[in-house]
Amino acid sequence: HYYRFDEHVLLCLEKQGSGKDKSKHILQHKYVRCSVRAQIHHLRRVLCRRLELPLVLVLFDNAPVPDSMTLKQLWLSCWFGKPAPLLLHYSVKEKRR
Amino acid sequence: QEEDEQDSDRFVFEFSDKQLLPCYNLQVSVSRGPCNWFIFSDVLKRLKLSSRIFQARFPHFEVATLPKAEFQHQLSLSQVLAPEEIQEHMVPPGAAETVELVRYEPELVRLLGSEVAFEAWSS
Repeated sequence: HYYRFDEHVLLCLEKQGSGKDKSKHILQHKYVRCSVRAQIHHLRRVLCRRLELPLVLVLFDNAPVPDSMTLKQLWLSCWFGKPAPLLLHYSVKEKRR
Repeated sequence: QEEDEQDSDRFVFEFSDKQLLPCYNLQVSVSRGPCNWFIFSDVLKRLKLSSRIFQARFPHFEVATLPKAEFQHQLSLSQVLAPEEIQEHMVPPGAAETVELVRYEPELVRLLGSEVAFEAWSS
């Protein structure tokens, strides 16, 4: 069964926190659609590439989401019955200068 | 060969700066499995095109028709659609209506202004 035939979910990714870095590493395209079978580590990898950063964490309700969790599990446990998109946050780690 | 297999089954991530058009996982005929479809009129509205011009310009995009009742039934089986999103497409019983759909594919999504990223299952 190909992933491209999977049911999709809609996500909205907002950057976590504020402070002096507020305008840095903001995702220009924050609305994301992907397969219900994609796992959090797939999403993290795509985000790392887009933001050109070594580490991006995905959070729901201020808590990091486990890497092996699929988006369907996340949806059913956190967002069941609510309209799309599922709101997630991300936090970034840069190398210290 | 190996690369081909990877290519044929990677995750597609679609990124956009505006709200994405909803798409629905539907089985449009008994002879094939479910896949993803946009509502044709949503796509035309966003592209500001008429159906005739769209189909003349992009004859390779697949368009299908589903009876509205069947469309609603399949929507109601989804676990990731909210009741109000299903409700949106309800019509009074008895109304003989159909829904026109256009198949979800990366090329169409790019046309709608999204960026597409691929990610292999493992790597």
